[in-house]
Order: sequence, then structure tokens, then C-alpha cells
Amino acid sequence: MTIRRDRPAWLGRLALRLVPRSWRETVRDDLEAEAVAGGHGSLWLSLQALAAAVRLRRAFAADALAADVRHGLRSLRRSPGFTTGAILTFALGMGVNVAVFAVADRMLFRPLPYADPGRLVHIHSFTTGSAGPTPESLLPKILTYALRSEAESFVDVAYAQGATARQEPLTLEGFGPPVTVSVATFNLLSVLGVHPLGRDFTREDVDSRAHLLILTDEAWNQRFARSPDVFERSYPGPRGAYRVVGILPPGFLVPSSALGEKPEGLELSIDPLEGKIAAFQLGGSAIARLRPGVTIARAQAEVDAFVARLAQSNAQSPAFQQQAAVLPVQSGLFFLFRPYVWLVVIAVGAVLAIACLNLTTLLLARGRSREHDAAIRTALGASAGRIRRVTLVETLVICGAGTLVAVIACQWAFDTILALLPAGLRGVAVAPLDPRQVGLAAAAAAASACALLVGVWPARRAARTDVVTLLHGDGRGVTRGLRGGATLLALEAALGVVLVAGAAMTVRSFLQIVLKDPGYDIADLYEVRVGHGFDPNGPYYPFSRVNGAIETLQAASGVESVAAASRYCLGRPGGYHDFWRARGVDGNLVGIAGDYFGTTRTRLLAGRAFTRDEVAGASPVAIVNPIAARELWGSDDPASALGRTVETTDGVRTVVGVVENIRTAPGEPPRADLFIPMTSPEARNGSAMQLVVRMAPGQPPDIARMDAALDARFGRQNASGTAYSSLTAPLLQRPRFQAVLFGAVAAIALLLAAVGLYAVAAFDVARRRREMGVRLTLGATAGDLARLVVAGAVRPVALGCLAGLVATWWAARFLQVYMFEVDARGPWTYALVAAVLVATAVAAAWLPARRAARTNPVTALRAD
Amino acid sequence: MPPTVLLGEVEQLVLLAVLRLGDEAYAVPIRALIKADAGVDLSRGTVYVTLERLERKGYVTSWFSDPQAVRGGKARRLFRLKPPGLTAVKAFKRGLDRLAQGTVVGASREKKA
Repeated sequence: MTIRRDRPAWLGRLALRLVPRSWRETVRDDLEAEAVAGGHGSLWLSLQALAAAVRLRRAFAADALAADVRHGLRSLRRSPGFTTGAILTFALGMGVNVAVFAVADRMLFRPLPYADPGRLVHIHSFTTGSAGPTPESLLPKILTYALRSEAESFVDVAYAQGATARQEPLTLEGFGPPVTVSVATFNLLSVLGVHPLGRDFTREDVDSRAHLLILTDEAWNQRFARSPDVFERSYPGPRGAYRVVGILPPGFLVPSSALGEKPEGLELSIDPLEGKIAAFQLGGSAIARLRPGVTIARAQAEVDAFVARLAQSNAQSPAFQQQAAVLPVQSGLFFLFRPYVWLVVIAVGAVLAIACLNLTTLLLARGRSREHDAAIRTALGASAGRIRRVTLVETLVICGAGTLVAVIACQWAFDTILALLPAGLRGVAVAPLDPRQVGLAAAAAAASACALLVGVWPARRAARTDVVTLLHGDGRGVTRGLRGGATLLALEAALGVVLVAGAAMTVRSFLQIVLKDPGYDIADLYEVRVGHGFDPNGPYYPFSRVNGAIETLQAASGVESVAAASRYCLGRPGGYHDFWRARGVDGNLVGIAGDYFGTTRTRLLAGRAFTRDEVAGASPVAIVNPIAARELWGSDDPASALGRTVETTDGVRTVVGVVENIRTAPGEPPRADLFIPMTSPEARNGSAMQLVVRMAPGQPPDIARMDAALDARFGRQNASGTAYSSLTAPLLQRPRFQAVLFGAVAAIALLLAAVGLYAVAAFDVARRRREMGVRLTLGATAGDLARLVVAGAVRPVALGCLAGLVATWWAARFLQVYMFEVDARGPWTYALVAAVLVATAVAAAWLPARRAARTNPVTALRAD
Repeated sequence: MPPTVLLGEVEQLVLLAVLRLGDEAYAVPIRALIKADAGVDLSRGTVYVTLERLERKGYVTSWFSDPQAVRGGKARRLFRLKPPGLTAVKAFKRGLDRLAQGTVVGASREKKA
């Protein structure tokens, strides 16, 4: 009997061809027998053959894959030195990336914990200068207030102040340690679409001027063990009795770009958008919900119109000359860090690229030394695909294990990483092994991508074994050179140059900022802010008040010296005054009283300070700094400014003294300074006054006592105090972060390059052992051989250096904006960087060179 | 007691079927016997894969018989248990019986015996 032919015979043959060869005949025979016995047709046979083929091929592939994985793992286990070195070097490169993913988890991967975040926007201030748009950290209050009241694009506009180191935590009775909170508008949570446990703030709360808090879930757990008793009582504080009315959902993120610290909740006091001072600045950004159907572009157009209107009607006030950007909420939260995103991406991307290049070099060298194994496997029937697969498995294991080591190391060092981050990122960073972490998946994906990229070339090289040549070879083992190794080393060197140059520049910048004399002595110097107590309608600060405040504080324990100033002028980025704006210059005009320069320890370059009578009588005198003297009279000689006159709105003033230039904040250039007696009408700056207090070394001021003393003399003063060092510390964070980031990645890059160079040099020495024996026989010395090895390592590095220096030169114009008084194209920097790379190459090749120099010609020539 | 080698359910069925069929053990009757006696309908591919794996483990051996003495007769690929395979299936069966002793399952087996 034959099989019923209900379909073309070729269909059955095609199906049978899919069956693995070792089973093809068996399957065919079985199926034909069954078809005949059962009266089935050729279609049945084809389908059965296909099913059997699929099942067999899947099982064979899984078995082969399992065998290849076992083989790969076994071979890695048999070379513990190589495996450990490869995993650690990859972990170094991956570690920086894991840290970035942990920080960027909120920025890039996790959706924000708000309702319909796609309809939420941030409104940020920025100014446009020669360097392009620069984010501003302050937003005019009046703009936000106007947008809330009148704009049609937004359902509502809200604001959260965020939390920075400058804010004093709230000390509340019965609340435990002082609590850091973010002041917010009453409508913040309703704009975000977040519903707290308990209740939200209301408009009525604002009207009744209640002091209310909504805590985070974390704070509720840590301080009160989630007890509902927290709602029952009130907590007396500095501004009155506070009550907790609600608890935020777990994972809530305060929508502010000023998150230097992690706030433990929201505070509602007075509405921060309402108040008398229109031009007052809000720290951070506003947040708004778009109306249905309104696009960001349309909202931006409306905001631009508002900004233009305000600028026109307040042309004299610089506060209204900024522009405002409407941004999607996720990117808006990190708007202030946008200039730094590219720096970080380049730095960590480059170090990961170096790690990948390094690993490729190591795998290529290892592949060369295992060519005989591959030839034997091929001769025994292994396909090229299976040999490639073993190499890829090894690469995947190394990259996976390296990433795991990196994750564990970052988790262990997370507190240190947090301390090094700039303010604003600390509050949003999530540890790598935190269950909420999504960036870990990105790290795993990056590791897999690296494994594929790194493994492709060595895998292809391993599969291209010349079985005949290798198996009939003279048993020397490694004979062929490491083709492509020099190229990889040159690429590593080029990337390394960019990173090391970046490190040299950023570290120098940071040191310049820290070590540069600011023009005043910040140690033991404090700012005491005194609000109220002055007649807000008065034309000037009465001398009686000014002098009285100075005398009161001078009598406090530990105080060495006290002075007064009409505006913030130390410990912050420099402000501006219309006097200088009119002259097209950034500068300060500050009213001072008491021994101001003695208290701040600012050097007097010429002339004298104001006398007590001059301050008491608001005399028409002035003190300038050299920058002011140059701007006003074109003179570089401080002494020549004495006796000169300058016209202010109060009238003509005579210069009686010249003080050194003051850098009000780290990293800030000094500005033109004009000091006048504080009692002059022009010095008037609202109802507040800043008292500058120098304390005895190591003795902080007792602010509560000082406040009580001022209250006793003048009525309620609401004094608060801060050390100038704590004001300036946050300003050092970004330059320090840059220096640490580039320093770390540069060190890692040099280490990786050294490992790669060592591996290639060692491989080269092993390969050329016989050649070295011949050279020694022909008269070469040990030194010649050592120099040969070192030159072989230095040559590709030198080429890579050249390419890297060209790239750094090109990138210098973008890097310059991050530098402080450091030329991004300084020749000495470039020379130093090249020297460091070459020295690294020499150091890495040293051991292999020594081995080469110790070659015994007899042994080398005999070992065939 | 030396450790008993773990056998998968399908491996057990196939080994027992090969043992039962003796010199006529090839894929088609193995599959038919398992379906008839154990009530388990294994796909053809599963039987082939299991036989392949058992052969790799060294539990069975295969050879091609002489062509059938009919016109167009084909040589069959036959399977036989090797000593390690016999040992493995015996040990596993003994282990199961010991484990089932004193239980409802063990009691029903004893009753049947």
C-alpha cells in the first residue's frame, strides 16, 4: 500500500527536511508506516512531520544553548584571574551609570505621582544672555498671581516652595526633631489631583490664617508610627499653634525644582502668592494644570503676553525683565539642572564606552590564546554559530556580574553618592535596590546592550578559526597578532583624554572657587535678619533703630563685632541695583552702619570707613571698590578714586574710601560695589535689615536670646539667623559635583585604560617570545626589548591622545561655561593631560616589559 | 541509602514502555503503549525528544534494525534499555513505593497486589 496523495509530495518532503538530520529517517519511516496503516494522506504526513520537526528543533536548540551556557560558565570558572578582572573592570565602568540611573529614576523612568501628569506644567523663569537661555531660580510672584487670576489656559496655578538648606526647619512642641516642610498654596494638591488622607488645605484656611501641615507618609510613620492621634492635638511653634490636617500618599513628590532637602510635608500659612510686594521673587517654579484642549504652545503664548505686559508697566524693575517658560511637569522639575544633563551624559557615557572597549580588548586577547580549543571544537563538529554563542554567553555573564557588583557597590555607597549630589537632586534620588527603583531595569538593559556590542567582534573572531593551520601548527599556541587591539587602545586613549581634561579643568575650577579670597572672612560670621519694627512708610532707616540694634547685639554673649547692611550682600549670588543697571553694569549699592568692614574683615585699600557721625547724619559720602572705580572713572589705581564724586538719586557723594573687591558667593565674579551710609534714603530696602555679626571663634550665636533682647528694646522683631558658611555651602555643590564627577570618571578611565594596555602588552610579549629570543641572539639587549614593549603600548596611546586633544579643543567652547577662571583651551592643561595618558601607558606596560627583558634566549628558541 | 536519580514523568513512561516492548521498542509502539496503558497521549515529537535525551544520558541505546522483509520495507530505529537506565527506573519505582507506604495510595497498591 502507498500513502494517499491528497497533496503534492514535495510538501511532505519539505516538512521532513525541517526535521533534524539525526532523526529525519526515523521520523519519515514512522510517519509513512502510520500513514499507510491509518489510511492517512500526504497532508497528514506533512503536518505530523512539521509538528515533530518543531518539537525536535526546539529541544535540540534548548539543549545546545544549555550546553553552550555550561561550557561558557565552565571556561570562565577555569580562568578565575581573567574572569575577576573582567567583571571588576566592567563594574567600574557600569558603576557610574548605575548611580546616574538611581538619581535619574524620577526624572526619566517613573511616572510622577499626580493625576493626569500630562496636563500639568511648570512655569519657570529664565533670562537670555550671550550663553543662551539660563534658568533662573526665582519667579516673580506677581506673574504667578496674575496667571492664577486671569490666565485662560490654566484651570488653576499653584506653588510649592520646596526645601533648601537655607530654610530653617520648624521646631514644634511635641513633634520631635525640627521638621523641614515646603510652604505651599492652598490649592496645590487640588491642582495636582492628589487626595490626602484626612483633608486638604482650603481657601477658608488661608482666610482664617491658620497654621496647618499635611505630612508625608514617611514622616507620619517615622514620627508618629502612623497613629491617628497626630490629628488630635496642636503643636505650638514659632509662628503660632500648628495642626496636622492630612497625610500625603506614599511616594508623593513635592513639585518644586528647589528640593535640596527632602521635605516632610506641606505648610500652609499665609498664601505665598498674595501679599503686598509685587516684585517679590518666589524660589523655584509655579505649577499649573492646563485646561482641556489647551496645548503647551498655546499656554506659552499666553504667558509670554503676560510677561510682556508686566515688563512694559514695570520697565525700571529688573525683576520683570525675565522670561517665563511653560514646561511639561517632568522636565520642569529638573529645569535648573538642564545645563548639567549633557555633562553627566557625556561623562558616564564615555566611561561606559571605555569599559566596553576594554572588555572587547580582553576578550580578543583571550580568544587568541584559546584558538586551539576552538579549532578542536570545530573539528569535532561544532558549528561557527555555537562557538560564537559561547563567547557571547561569556560576555553576557561578565557584563551581568559586573552590573550586579556595580549595583551592590552603589547601594552600599549610596549615602556618599547623595552627599556629593547637588541640592535639588538629593531629594529625588532613589537607592539602586529600593523596591520603587525602575532605573535598575535600565541598568540591566544597558548591561545586555553592552554585552552584545562587546561580544560581537570577539565572537566573530573566535568562529573564524583556520582549523587546518591551527591543528597542523608547530604547537606554539599563539602566533597571530591581536588585530584591532591597537585601534581599541587608541579609542580608549582618546576618550580618556576627554575625561581627564574635563577632570583637570573642573577640579581646577572648584579649587579656584574654594581657595580664591572672597574679600571677607566667612569663618564665625553670621547674618541676623530683623523684620518689622521699622516704619514701612518711613523714608529711611532711623539711626536710633540701626544703632540700637547694633548695640543690643554687641552686648550679647560671644559677639566680637556687629554691623548693619540694608540688603543681602554676602553669601549669595550678587544682586543688582538700578544705579548700576543704568550704567549697564552688574553691581550693588548697599547702605551700611557700624564697623561693617571691620566685622566682615574686608581690607581697606585706600582712605577710611564711614564715621559714626556720617552714618548718623546720612552724610553724602561713599566707599567704592576697584571695579566700581574702573567703571565710574576708568581708573585702576584705588587711591585715585579718593575725593572723586559720584551722583546718586540722593545727590552728589564724595568717595572717602576704597575697599577690596568682594565675591559675595563662591564662583561669582566680584561686582561693582558702592557703599553709602545706611541712614541715607537711597539705602532704603523695605522694612527689613541685615545685621552682620562676627562671633568669637567656635561660638555660634544664641539667636533666641538675641531675638528676645531686640523684642525687649523695639517690640516684636522676629529675628532669625544663619551662618554665612551655610548660605555659601549650597553654592559650592554644583562645582564640587562637577569636579567629583569628572575626577571619578577620569580615575576610572585611567584605570581601565591601564588594565587594557597591560593585557595587550602581556599578550604581545607572550606571542613574540620566540622573536625576542632571536633578537637577543642577534645582539639586542634586555633594555632594547623592554623599550620595544613599552613603545608598542605607547604608540596607540599617543595616537589616541592626539585625537582626544582635538576633540577636547572642539568641545572647549561648550565646556567653558562650566569653568571658573580656567581657560578650557589652556595649553598647559592639554600638555598635562597628554603626559598623564602617556605615563599611564608606560606604567601599564612596565611589568610585561620586565618580563620581556628577562627572556632567556635558549628557552625561548627551544620552546617550539 | 544512595541518592536516587530523578526521572521526569515522561522519561519514566518511556523507559517503562521500552522495557515492556523488549526488541520491538520504537517510537510508534512506545507511544501507543503509553496511551493504552497509562492513558497519557504524548505527542510524537515528545516521544522522539525524550528518547534522544535518554540516549544522551546513557539510559537507552538505539540501533537500526535490518530492513523489514517486505517489498519496500524500511529499517527501524529500535531502542533498548541499558543497565544504567534499568537501574534508574527500578530505583525510582522503589523510591515511589517506599514513599507511598502507609498512605492511601500505598494501601491501594498493596491491596491490588
